[in-house]
Amino acid sequence: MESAPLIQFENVSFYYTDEFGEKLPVLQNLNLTIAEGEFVTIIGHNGSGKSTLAKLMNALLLPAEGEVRVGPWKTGATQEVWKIRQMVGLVFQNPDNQIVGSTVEDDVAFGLENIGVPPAEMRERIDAALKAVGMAAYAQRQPHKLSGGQKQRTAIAGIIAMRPRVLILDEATAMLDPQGRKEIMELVRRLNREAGITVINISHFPEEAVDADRVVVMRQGKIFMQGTPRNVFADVTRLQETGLDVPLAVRIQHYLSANGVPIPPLLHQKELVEELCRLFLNR
Amino acid sequence: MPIIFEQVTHIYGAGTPFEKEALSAVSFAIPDEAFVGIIGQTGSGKSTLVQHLNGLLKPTRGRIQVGDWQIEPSSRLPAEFRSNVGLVFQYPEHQLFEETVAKDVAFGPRNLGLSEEAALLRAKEALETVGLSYDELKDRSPFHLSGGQMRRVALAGVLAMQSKVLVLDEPTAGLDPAGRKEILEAIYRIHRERKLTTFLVTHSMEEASRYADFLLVMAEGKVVLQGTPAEVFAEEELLRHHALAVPQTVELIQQINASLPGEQQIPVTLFREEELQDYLLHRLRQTRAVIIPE
Repeated sequence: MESAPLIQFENVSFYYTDEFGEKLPVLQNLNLTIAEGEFVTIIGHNGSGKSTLAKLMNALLLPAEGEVRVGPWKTGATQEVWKIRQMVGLVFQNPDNQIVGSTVEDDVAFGLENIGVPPAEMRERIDAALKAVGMAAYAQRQPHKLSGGQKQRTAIAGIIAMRPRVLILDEATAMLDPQGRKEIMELVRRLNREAGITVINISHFPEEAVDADRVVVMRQGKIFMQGTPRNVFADVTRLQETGLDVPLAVRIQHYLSANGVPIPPLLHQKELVEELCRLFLNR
Repeated sequence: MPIIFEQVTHIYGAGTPFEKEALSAVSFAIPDEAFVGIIGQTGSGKSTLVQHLNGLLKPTRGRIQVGDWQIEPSSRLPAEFRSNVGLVFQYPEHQLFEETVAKDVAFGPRNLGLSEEAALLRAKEALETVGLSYDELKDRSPFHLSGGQMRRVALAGVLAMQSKVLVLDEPTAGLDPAGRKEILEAIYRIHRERKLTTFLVTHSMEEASRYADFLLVMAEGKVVLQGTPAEVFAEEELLRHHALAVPQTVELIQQINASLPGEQQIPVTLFREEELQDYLLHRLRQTRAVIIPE
C-alpha cells in the first residue's frame, strides 16, 4: 500500500517528570510513518511508551524534541489542535471514563454538537455511526446499562460520527471479556476495510496483531522491531526476551521446530492445524 | 479453609423498584487448600459472589460456611472474621492511599494490632513476595510507580494480612503478558507455600486452566457448571451457550481432531500448553515419516 504519510514522527523525544523532579525519558528519537488506510498494531510492555505515542498523535501531548506531523499540521506549531483531534480519534481503555451522554445517541451527539454540526446532518451522522458499530437498536438506552463491549462500541460511534481519518485504540479491549474484545476487533477491521479508516491498535494481545498490515514493537521508548506480522512473530525468542507474547500457534510451532520437527514458520492457527495434520497423516 | 455455599441468593435493593437478583441459589463446596477459578461474562455475578466470602455482602437467603464461621442473612460478623479472607478487588491500585509504599503495605497489619516494627517486617516480606524491592521502593510514593508496580504494591498490602483465604478479582486486567505471568506465578507460589484456599476471578480460560484445581462457571447469577478444568472444558456447548469459550489449546485440539481419524484423536484433557506441546512432540517422534533427533 503506497500512499502519502498521514502521521509522521521525526526524531521525537518525550519526557515525564517524576516526584523528585527528575526527567524520565519515555520516547527517544523516535521515527515512525503511518500511511493512509493502514492497519497498524503497536505492541510493547507496560511503560514502553505506547500510550504516549498515541497521545502525541492527536496533540494531547506535544513532543519535547522533534516533530509530529498529522496531515498538513505540525502538532507543536499550530493553532489547529481541534482539527487534528477531529481527524485522529482516540479510544481509551476504560469505557466508563469516556461516556458523557445520558443515552447512547446523546453520547454520540456530544462531539458533533461541539463542532457545530447542523441538527439535520447530526441526525444523519449519528444514525450512520450507530449503524456502523451495530448499536442502532440501543440508541435510546442508558450507557451505564450496557456491557463493556457495547460501551466501547458507543465510544467508537462517537468518534466515527466526527468522520476521522484515523482511529487509535489505546488498549481499548484490555478491560473487556473475550466476547467484547472480539466484537471490537471485528468492528475496527471492518471500518478499516470498508470505510478506509486508518487504524492504529495499541494492544497487549498478540492475537490482535496477526491480521494487521504492520506490527510495531516498542521497547524502552524506541521502536524495537517492525514489519508484517509474519516477519515480526517469526522472531519468537527476541520478542519473548522483551516480555512480549506471541500467538499460541506461533509458540507451538517454535517449540516443535526447536526440537527438530520439520515445521515451517507460520502465523495463523489454521496453518498450524494443517501442518500438524500433514505430519500426523504422513502426507 | 473449606468453604461451603448452600442455596445462596443475593438481591440488591430488595423491596425497591431497582431490585435485582444478582445471585440465585448458588451451591458449591470447596475443600481446604483448593485453587478455584471463577469464570463468567461481565455481569454474571462473579464479583457479587466473591464479596460474600469475607462478609462484605451477606446472603439474602441461604447459608455460607467459611472454615468454622457461619454466615447467614442475620449474622453479625466480628472484625476478626474479615482478617481470615484477603480480598483483592479489580484495579486494586485505586485503593492505594498512603504517602509511602511501606506505609501503604503495612497499613493492614497495623490495623490487626501489630507493632510498627512487625508490620513493616510483614510489608517487606509481602513486597518481596510480589517481586518488588523493599529497600528501593519503601520511601517512594505509591502514586508515582508504574501501573504494574502499583498493582503489585496493592496486592502486597493484602498479602501482608496473611489471611488463610485469598480472593482475587481479575488481578491481571490491563497488564502486559509478562506482568500477568509474574503476578499469577507469585500468587500461585504463595498459595502453595502458605497452604491457602484461593479464588481467582478471571476472564481468561488460559489463566483458569493453568492454575485452578476447580472451576465455577457463572452465568446470570447462577453457577451453571462446576468441576475440574477437564470436566468443565468437556462441556463446550454449554460454555458456548453462555458466550464463553474453551481455552485456545482445547480449540486447537478440536480443530486438529476434525481432520484426524478416530484412533489418532488427541485427548482434549491436554489443555495445559506445556502438556500439549510435549504430547505433540512425542506423537510426532513416533510418526515414522518424521525423523526428529531426540
